[in-house]
Amino acid sequence: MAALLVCLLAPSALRHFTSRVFSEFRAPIDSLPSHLSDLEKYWLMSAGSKRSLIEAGRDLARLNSAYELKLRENEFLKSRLSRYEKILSMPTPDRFKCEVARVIRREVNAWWQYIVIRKGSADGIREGYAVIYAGGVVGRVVKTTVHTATVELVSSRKFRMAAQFDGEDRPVIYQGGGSFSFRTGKGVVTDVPGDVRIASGESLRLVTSPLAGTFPEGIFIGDVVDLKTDSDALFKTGVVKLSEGLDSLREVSVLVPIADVAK
Amino acid sequence: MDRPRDILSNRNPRIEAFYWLFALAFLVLICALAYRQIFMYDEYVAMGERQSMRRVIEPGVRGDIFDRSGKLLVTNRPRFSAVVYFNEIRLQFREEYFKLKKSKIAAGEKVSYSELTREARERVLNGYVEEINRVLGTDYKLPDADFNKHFSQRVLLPFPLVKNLTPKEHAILAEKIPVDSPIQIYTDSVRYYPYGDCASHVLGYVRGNFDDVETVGMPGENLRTYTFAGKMGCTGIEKAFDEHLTGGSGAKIWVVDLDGFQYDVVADVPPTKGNSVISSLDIDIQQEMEERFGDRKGAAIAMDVRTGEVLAMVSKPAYDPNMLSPYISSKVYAEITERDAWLNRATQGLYPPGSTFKIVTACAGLMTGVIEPDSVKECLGGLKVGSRIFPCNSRYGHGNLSLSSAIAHSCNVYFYETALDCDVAAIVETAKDFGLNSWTGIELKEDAWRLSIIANPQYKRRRGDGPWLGGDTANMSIGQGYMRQTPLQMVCMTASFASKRTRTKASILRDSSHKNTLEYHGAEKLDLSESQYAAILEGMKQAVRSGTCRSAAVDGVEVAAKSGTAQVMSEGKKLALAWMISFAPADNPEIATVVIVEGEEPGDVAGGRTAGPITGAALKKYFRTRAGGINIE
Repeated sequence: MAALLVCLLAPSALRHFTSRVFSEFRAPIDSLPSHLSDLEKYWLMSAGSKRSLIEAGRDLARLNSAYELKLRENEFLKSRLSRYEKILSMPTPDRFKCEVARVIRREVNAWWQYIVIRKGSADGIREGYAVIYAGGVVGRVVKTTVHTATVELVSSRKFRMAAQFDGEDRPVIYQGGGSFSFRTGKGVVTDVPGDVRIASGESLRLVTSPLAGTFPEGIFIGDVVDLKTDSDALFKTGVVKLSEGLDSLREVSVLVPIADVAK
Repeated sequence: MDRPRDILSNRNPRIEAFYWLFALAFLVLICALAYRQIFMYDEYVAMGERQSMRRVIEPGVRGDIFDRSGKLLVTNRPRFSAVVYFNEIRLQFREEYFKLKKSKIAAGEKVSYSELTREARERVLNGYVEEINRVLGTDYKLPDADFNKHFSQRVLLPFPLVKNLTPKEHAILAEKIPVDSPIQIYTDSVRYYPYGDCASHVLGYVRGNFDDVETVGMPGENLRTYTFAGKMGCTGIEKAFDEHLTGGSGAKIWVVDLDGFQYDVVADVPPTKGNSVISSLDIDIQQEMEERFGDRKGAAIAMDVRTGEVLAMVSKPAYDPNMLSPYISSKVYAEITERDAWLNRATQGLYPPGSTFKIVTACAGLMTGVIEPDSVKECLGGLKVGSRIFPCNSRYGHGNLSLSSAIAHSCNVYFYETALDCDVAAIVETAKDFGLNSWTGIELKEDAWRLSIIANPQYKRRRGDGPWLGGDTANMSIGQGYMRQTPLQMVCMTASFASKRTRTKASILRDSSHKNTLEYHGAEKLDLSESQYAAILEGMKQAVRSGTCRSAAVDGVEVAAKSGTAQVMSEGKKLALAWMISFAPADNPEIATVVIVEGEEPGDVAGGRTAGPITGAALKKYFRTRAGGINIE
C-alpha cells in the first residue's frame, strides 16, 4: 500500500527513470530463457550419435543447396526488376532494412497484447518501427531497452494504423480489437468507402498503406469478411480476421528505415 | 373542590396533547413528503434531468442524386478534422490555470480570473496544435474560433484544432497519435459533386444550416441542446427536394457533471441518411452540350418529348459547387458574382425568342385561316408598316415563298404580313395556348415564368408606351419587341408542337411510371389539320436540309429545327442572341432541344452558325447513346 502511495505521489520524471531502470535490469532476465533454450538445442544436437549428426549434416547440405538455387533465382529476379524499374523510371522501393529478431516473451491474452524480441536499441531499433513476419504485420515497437524491444501486437486495442484494401489506394483505418486467451486476435476496419463491397462467401485482403510512412505498401494485415454501413451512411465498418500465425511467432523482422540507418 | 387525582393512573392530559401535536406535525411532514414525492414527482424529475442532462443533435447525411441511368451526380465525401473534446482536457486546463496564477502572483502581476482562464485554455489548445504539427511536420495555427465561446456554448461538441485534413495527414495522425490521446479524428460530411461545374445550376448547392435542424420526435425535447450544423439546399434539385434529401437527425443524451462536462450517454438515436433522388438528367448529353457550349454565355436544354423529362439543362457561365461546400468563401462569392454565374439562365434567363417564335405565328395564321398551307407571299427585302420599313434577313428579298420555305429561310416579311392579317390577339392567344406565359411544371424553384412576357395592347399601355401599333404586331410576329421567354418555356413549346399538343409539363425527375405524363396539365390536341401541321413541319425539316439550321443536321435522323437571331440593346450596344429550337426524329419525335447563346460583341453570334452545332451535338449524343442507339458518325 505504501509502495503504491509512493509510486503515485512520486514526480513523473522519477517514475519514468525507475521504469527505465527496471526495464533494463529485467531485459537480461527476459532474454535468459531464450539463450538457455538455444544452448539446450546445441547440447541436444552435440549429444546425438555420430551417425545422426552425419544425417543431419547431409539434410542441411541439401537444404543449403536448395536455398543456394533460390538465392540465385532471387538475384536474377531482382536484377530483372531493377532493370524494369530503371526503364520505367520508378523510385526504389527499398526504404527499409530488415532486422531479424527472435521472440523471447509473449504476453498475448485478454489484458496484454505484446511480445518482447531479442534486439534493442543497440541494434538500431527505435520506438515506432514497424514489425512484420512471413504472414504479414506483427505490430509496432513501443519500448526498447539496449538488447530487447517490446512490440505492441496488431491485435492490441491500442494499435491503430492506416491501411488499404489490396488493389486499391484509398486509405482506411485499422484498429486492433483485442483477443481472448487461446483465440486468434481480431481487428476492426473503419472509414471504408461506401462503394466497397464483399461478395457473399468471399473476403477482402486488408494490407498496409504507405501513407503514414511507418509500413511499406501491401503487407498483409488480415481478411475482412463482412462490412456494415455506419449509421451515418458515410462509411462502412468491418471485422478483420488476423492471421493465425500471430499466435506462434518465433522470429520477426523489424523494419528499420534506411534513412535512420544512414544516420 | 378539586377532584382527587388518581395517582395510580398514567394518563396525563398535557402529555396526551403533546402526543397529538407531535402526531399532527408528523402527519404534516408525511403529507408534504407525499406531495413532493408523488404529486410533484414528474416536475422534480424534469428539473433534475434539465440540470444533469444535455442533448446533442446530429443531422443525418443528405441523400445522393443520380442521373437517369444511375450515375452518381451528387454524393457526400468525408471531411476529417483533428479535434479535442473539452471534457477530456479540463484537468489540463485547471493545471495550466494554477501554474499561470502562481507565476503571475510570483511576478507581482494583477490576476484576472477571466484573462487567466482564457490564457490557460489557449496554451493547452496550442500545445495540442503543436503536437499535431510535430507529427505531421506542418505549421498549423490554432483556429481563430473563439474557444471561450465554444467552452460556454458548445462544450459538448468537439473543438476543431485542424480542419480539412488531407488523406495523408489523416493516415499519419491515425497511426501516430495514441488511441487514448485527447486528440481525436472527427469525421463529418461535405457535399461532393463528382462532375464539378457540369449541371451545377440544375443540381444546385447546399449551405450550412445552423437553425432548422429537424428535432421533432427526438428524445429530450426539454433538455438544453447542442446542435451540429446541418445542410440546406440553396438552389436546383438540392433545394427543390431538400426535405426528401435531408437525413433524419440523431440525438445523444448525455449525463453531465456539475461543470457541464459529459460523462455518460443515456440515450443514443443514430442519424439516418436522407433519401436519394433519381433525376431525369442524362449526364452524357449534359457533358456533351456543356463541352460544345464552351465559354460562351447562355443556356441549352434537351427534353424527352414523350414525358417532358429534362435530359440536360445547361446554364453558362457555371460554377463548381464543390467550391461552395462546406461554406462559400467571400473570394469565391465575388468571383462567381463577377462572372454573373449565379443565374440559372435556362429557367431564369428572359430573352426575346426571335425567329423561333415564327412557329407560333405560323400556327396562329393557320388556325385563324389568314394563311393556308400553300399560301404564297412575296418578299422584297422589307415591309413598310406605318411609316417604318421592317426589314427581312435577306436584304434583296426572298421572292415568292410558301409557308414551308418562309420557315426554312426564316423570311420575316411572310410573318409580318401573316401577323398583320390575323391580328395580335390571335397570336397572343396561340402563344398562351402553348403555355408561354405559364408555369412549365418544373420542380425547380428558380423558374422565372411569372416574369415572362407575351405583350399585348394592354401591356404596352400599362407600360406607358402609348397605343399598340402595326409595327408592334410585326415585331411580335418574329419574336422581337416586348416578348420575353425563358429557354425552358421555349423547349416546352417545341416539345408540345413536336407531339401535336399545346402543353408539355417539364420535370427534372426520372419517372418510370410516367405519372407526370398522365397528369393533366392543360394539354389539348393542337388545333391544326394534318396538312397545316405538315406545312410547318416541312419548313422545319427544310431548314435543316438546306436552310438556316444545316449545322444541326444528324446523319441518319431527320431533324426539324428553327433558328433565330434576336436583337437586344445592352449597355448601348446592339447585341445578338443566337437561338435554335429543334426536335427529332421529325416524324416520330423523341427529343426536343433549345439553345440560346448570348452575343458579347455586335454580330458575333447567329442562330444557325452558333446555336446549330450545339443542337447537332446534343442530338447526335442522344441517338448514339439511347437504348437501341443508332450508329451515327
